[in-house]
Order: sequence, then structure tokens, then C-alpha cells
Amino acid sequence: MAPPVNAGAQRLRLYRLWRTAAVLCALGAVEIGVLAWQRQRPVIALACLPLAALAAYGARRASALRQVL
Amino acid sequence: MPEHRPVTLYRTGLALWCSLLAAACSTQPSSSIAGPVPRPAPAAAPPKPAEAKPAQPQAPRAESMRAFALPVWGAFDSAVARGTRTRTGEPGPAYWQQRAEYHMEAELNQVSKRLNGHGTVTYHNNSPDTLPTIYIQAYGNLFAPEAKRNTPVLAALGGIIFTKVAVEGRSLDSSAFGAGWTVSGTIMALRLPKPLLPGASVELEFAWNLRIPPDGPRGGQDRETYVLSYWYPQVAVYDDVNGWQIDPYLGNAEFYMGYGDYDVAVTVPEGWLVASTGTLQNPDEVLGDSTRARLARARAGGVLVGVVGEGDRGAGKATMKGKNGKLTWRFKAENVRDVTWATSNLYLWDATTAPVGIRGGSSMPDTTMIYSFYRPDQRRSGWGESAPYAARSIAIFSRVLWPYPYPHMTVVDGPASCGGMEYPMMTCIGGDWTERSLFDVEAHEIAHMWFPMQVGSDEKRYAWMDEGMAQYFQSVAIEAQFPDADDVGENRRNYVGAVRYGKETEMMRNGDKYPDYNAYGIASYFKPATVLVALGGIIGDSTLMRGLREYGTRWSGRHPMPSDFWNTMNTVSGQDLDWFWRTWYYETWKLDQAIDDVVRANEDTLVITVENKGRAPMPVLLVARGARGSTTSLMVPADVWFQGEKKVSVRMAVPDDFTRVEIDPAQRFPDADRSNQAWPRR
Repeated sequence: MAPPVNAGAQRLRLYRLWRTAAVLCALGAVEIGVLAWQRQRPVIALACLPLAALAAYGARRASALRQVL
Repeated sequence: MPEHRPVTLYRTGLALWCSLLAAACSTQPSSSIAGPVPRPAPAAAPPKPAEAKPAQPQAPRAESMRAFALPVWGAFDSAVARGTRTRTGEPGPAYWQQRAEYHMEAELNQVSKRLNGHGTVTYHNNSPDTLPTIYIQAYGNLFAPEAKRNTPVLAALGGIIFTKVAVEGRSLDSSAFGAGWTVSGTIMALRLPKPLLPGASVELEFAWNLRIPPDGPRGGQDRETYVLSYWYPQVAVYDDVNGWQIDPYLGNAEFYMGYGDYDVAVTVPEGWLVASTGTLQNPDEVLGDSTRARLARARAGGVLVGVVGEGDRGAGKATMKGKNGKLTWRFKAENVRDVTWATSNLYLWDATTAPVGIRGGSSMPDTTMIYSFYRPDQRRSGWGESAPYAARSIAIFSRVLWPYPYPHMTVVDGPASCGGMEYPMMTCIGGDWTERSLFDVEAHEIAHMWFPMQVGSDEKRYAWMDEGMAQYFQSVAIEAQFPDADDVGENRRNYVGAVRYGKETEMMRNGDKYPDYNAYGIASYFKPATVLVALGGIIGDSTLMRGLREYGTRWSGRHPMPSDFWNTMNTVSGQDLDWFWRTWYYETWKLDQAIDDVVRANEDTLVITVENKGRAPMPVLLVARGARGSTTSLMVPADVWFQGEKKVSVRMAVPDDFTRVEIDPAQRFPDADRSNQAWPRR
């Protein structure tokens, strides 16, 4: 049987997925944060929290995957 | 209220967003992620062994040489005692092997997608044992609704339905008692009316039918092509070490097949081309005149011939016209472990030849036929090059191993689930490929024509014995064809990635007992290929290749066990490598050698302390470099680690302009952490 799908390529794809998720979530969190600051509405900043958490998680997963690429 | 500047804010944000998105989704990895890795250096004169001593007195440890000995394998030891196996890796003087002769007829119904078969098997009991029961592999039962599976199938439409089972002309019933037969999963137990005595033969007769699975694992049909693999009842292997091997076919692990002679007649609609294991016996009855003429031109050698083009297909052109719209193709194959055939009315047929060297007692270099059958739309996947690619791989392996023994090598385009699957003289390749990846998969499958088609190991219990070999020789072919390729490095990175991820499983494990397919892939493909490269770094590449050739020559057409491979390599290399086999085949010990300290003893000598941070004992290949490019090297033998030492210090002569010392710069050994292998640190 042919060798399984290249494990290295799979890891690279997963790494890019988490990296993209981390970047986009961080960007979203910053943008909402800026909006909250501009409008002086701290309640808007609450929306940053899940995005920031997801960005941190994604960055952690991407970092772990990068170690094994 | 603060002043709002939404337009500026959003313009800036948009630009930032887009640039980050583009960076994040970039298809090119940054150099720090997937930078070029040096390929293993070609064989070099082994560096002088070093005198090494532990860095500091070591307390007695639990580990000792016994930790590196091979586990006791009682069944193999008994086989050695009986004289069927040896400690030197050759078959023993009392080695025996069962044999069977198959005469089968099958008819394809492309409308109902069913196959009706009938055949006889003459089974010769060459063993010293009396056999009251013969076990039959009914692989097609993988598709029975109630079958146990560890691989998903597209549809469980039914397995093999036996309509007749007879022994010596006497029909037997499906019954649990007395003479008769029972089927459990993919295994039929056929209890004989009279036990089969040593040296005796018995004739078995079967009639069966099966629904051809839609794109099942390793064959089936996709409405356009039909790849008939595992389509008939096959006698299970009864060998001298384990007796009957009747592990069920669950889908993931592959096969263990006995050798035999096959005489097969397959009936298909007229106009359909048939590719099969074996030699076509009746070309005049089935092939059209122009097809035979073009085939003869291809046989003359050297050129790629389109035997059947798009305009040539159909009855009365590519094939003869048949009675009732059907044609019967007859094939014979000798001393093979299986027969597979493929058919379609859409196939194009390319043919050429490949040099195989001197074979079969001839004094002149010989060639073998290369056939490629594919649908026209597969040209976009590089199939126009498939025959020359196959010829290239056959030529390479015939040169580095031994001459390809079969009359042809056929590559067929089949259902996607084929992926790349090997059968004697044939491979089915399904799915989308590029010209480059098609070469890779063909090289892998063609390497299987040596392992396990000729060297008939048990793929189910020891998948590394065929997949690991094929993966190793795939790299040989790829790097011969594409000098810039680094397939060896790709194997190593896949294996080391699993090690660093903690996802490794040992190689000596039944192929159906891995936790997941990735673990099976690492242990059966990437690790064994990487380990052979490492072995070449210890015993030398030429000795490695000599050992592989010797192993193949000894066990061609036979059933080697892992110990036969290891014992052969020990004998050919003149070394006791049991520590190596234990480390890499039975264990998941990590290799992590690090330079712990470097002290200058005098002008041109260093005292280098090497730490073994993993558990795998391996030689330490030290290379010191000077500013003007001069190098010195030193090999510290693996046995410095055998008493459990974690650090050793060695004295090493270095160039006058010494700048750097490094462990294994060519990466022959699969070290899990390259960041601690150089001094000074990068």
C-alpha cells in the first residue's frame, strides 16, 4: 500500500490553521478593544475576552506544532 | 465625547488585516520552519573508532547488556531446533513450504456488478504435520454487513457467497460438526473428510459469487474501472514457525500469502481490456490484429508504444468480437502469491520495455514488458508518463537488488481507494496525482514486487518487512530520478516528528493493533526506512545493500520471519547487531545525543563530553571542522552506552584552525533534537 498521507504535510497544514486562527482572533480582539476605548464603553471590551482566549489557545497550538515541523 | 475617525480607523485596520491574513495563509513556509536539510552523505570510509570512557564514575545501573538483547521467541527457537530455520539467517536444511495450484474461472457482470467464480485448488502438504482442517482466506467477506472492520468501507453490500464447497469431488455442507465448513469473518475453516497426511495432496473445489465493492480498500469498482483483488478463496499460510496464520482481514493490516501456480480464465464484455497478474495465454482470441501488432512493436523494445489509443477502443478494434458479446481472457502465473486483474472499456494501453539485467540462467541482459492501463482523463494526473516511470523503477531496482523475474509489470488506473496498491506483477493506483507524485507512488509499489511479492513475509504481523523496505527503496529510485529530491530526509522528518510528539509505537506489532493509522504509518513505513539508513551509517551502505540482496536471495519465494532478516544482516556484516534490532524494532527508545562539554586538551586535541539524553544506544559520529574547510572525524562505538552510561568523554584530534564540532552532520541517525548536537551552539 502507498505510504500514508505525508504526516509532515499534515502537521504543516494544522500549524497554518492554528496560526491563522490566532492571528485573526488577536486582530479581532484588538479592533474591538480599540472600538471600546474610542467609545469609552468598557462593556464592549468584554467581547475581546473570548477572542483573546481563542487567540492565545491558537498561538499555543501553533507553537507546539512548529516545534515538530 | 471623544472624536471618532471611523474611516481612517477602518482603512488602517483593513490594510493591517489583509497583510496579516496574507502572511498567515502563505503557502510557502518560512525558512525557519521547513528549511533545507542536508541529505545523508554517501557512504564514506568509517571514521576510526575512538577510545571512550565514562565522564565520571557511574553507579551500577539496572540497565545492562541484557536490556539490549533480543526477546526470546520460542516459536522461532523451536523452528531452529527442528532444522527449518537457522541462526545465520538461511533457511534450515529441513525448511519446508506448502504449495497450491489454482485453476479458476470467473465472469464479470458489469450491470449487476457481481462476479461469479468457480475453481479448484490442489493443495500440497509439504509439512511434517497431519492437517485435519484447511483454512481458507475469504478476504471478500470484509464487505459483509456483519464483518469486523478497522477500516471504513463505502458500503457493506455482502461478502463472498459460497454455492459449492467440495473436497475430492465430495460436496460438503456448511456445518459445525464433522466434515464441513464454517466461515467466521474472513476465514473459512474447512474440516476435511480425511486428515491430510504429510506429503499428500488434496483437491478442493469452490463455486462462489460476490458483489464487487464500490471503491473498497485496495480495489473494487468505480463504475468505470473494475479492479478484482482478493476475489477468490485462497488457502491460508501454514508455515514452519507459527502453523496456520489465520488472523482475520480487518482492512488495515495487509496479507500473508502462500506461493502457488495460477491458471485463470476471466470472462468480460467484448471491447473491455483486461490487465492481470500472469501471462496472457490466448492473445489471438482476445486482442485485435492492430493491438497485437502494436504490442509486438513495443516488445521489440526501447520505445513507448500506444497499444490502444482513444480511437482504438472497442470490440472489433482493441479486442476481438466475442460470442454473446463476451470474451474470455486466459492468464497463467507461476510461483506467485496472488492473482489480481483489472478491466475497463475505457482503458488506454501504453507499453514499453525495461532492462532487468541477466536473469533466469540467460547469459544476455534481458528486458521485461511494462504496461500501463488508464482512462484518458487521467492524463492530467501524469498517466501519459506512467509506463516510462515504471520502466525506470524496474531498471533501478533490478540493478541495486536483483533482476526483476516476472514477464511484465503492469500499472493500472483504478478506484480512488487503491491509492497505490501492490499485487504480483501489478499495481493499482487511484486518485489524483501529479507527474512527480505518480513517480513516487509507482516507485513504492514497484519496490513491493521484490518485498513482499518475491520475499514473502507476513505483512499483517510484520508490516515493516515489506512496507519499510518499499519505503527505503522508493527513496533510492526517487533520488536516482530526481537528484534534488530528499525522500530520505522526508522519511526521517516524519519519524522524528512522531518521536517528538510522543506518538510513536514499536515496529514489532501486528498491523491491526496500532492505536491509529498514523502510528501504523510511522512504524511500518517511515521508521523502518529511516532505520535502514541509520544501519547503513553503522555497517556501511555497501554492506547494507549486500545484506539486503543476500536476504532477498535466501528468502525469495519463501516466508522469512524478522529473525531471518536480522540473522542475515548479522552474518553479512560480521557484527552482532542484536542491540540495534532490539532498540529500533522492539522499542520506542529515543535517540538524543548532545555535546555536553568541550575542553581543549592541547593545541590540536579536544576532550569532548557527549551525553545520551535518550535511551537508544547508537554510535556517536563526531566531525570537527576548521575555518579553512578541513575536517576530522571520529566514531565512538555504540557499546559505550551498553552499561547504562549517560555521558562519555572522548579525545579527538581537530584541525589547527578548529571552529566547530558536530555530531552526525549528515543526519544518518534519527536524532530527536538537532539543536544540542553542535559546539559552539548555533
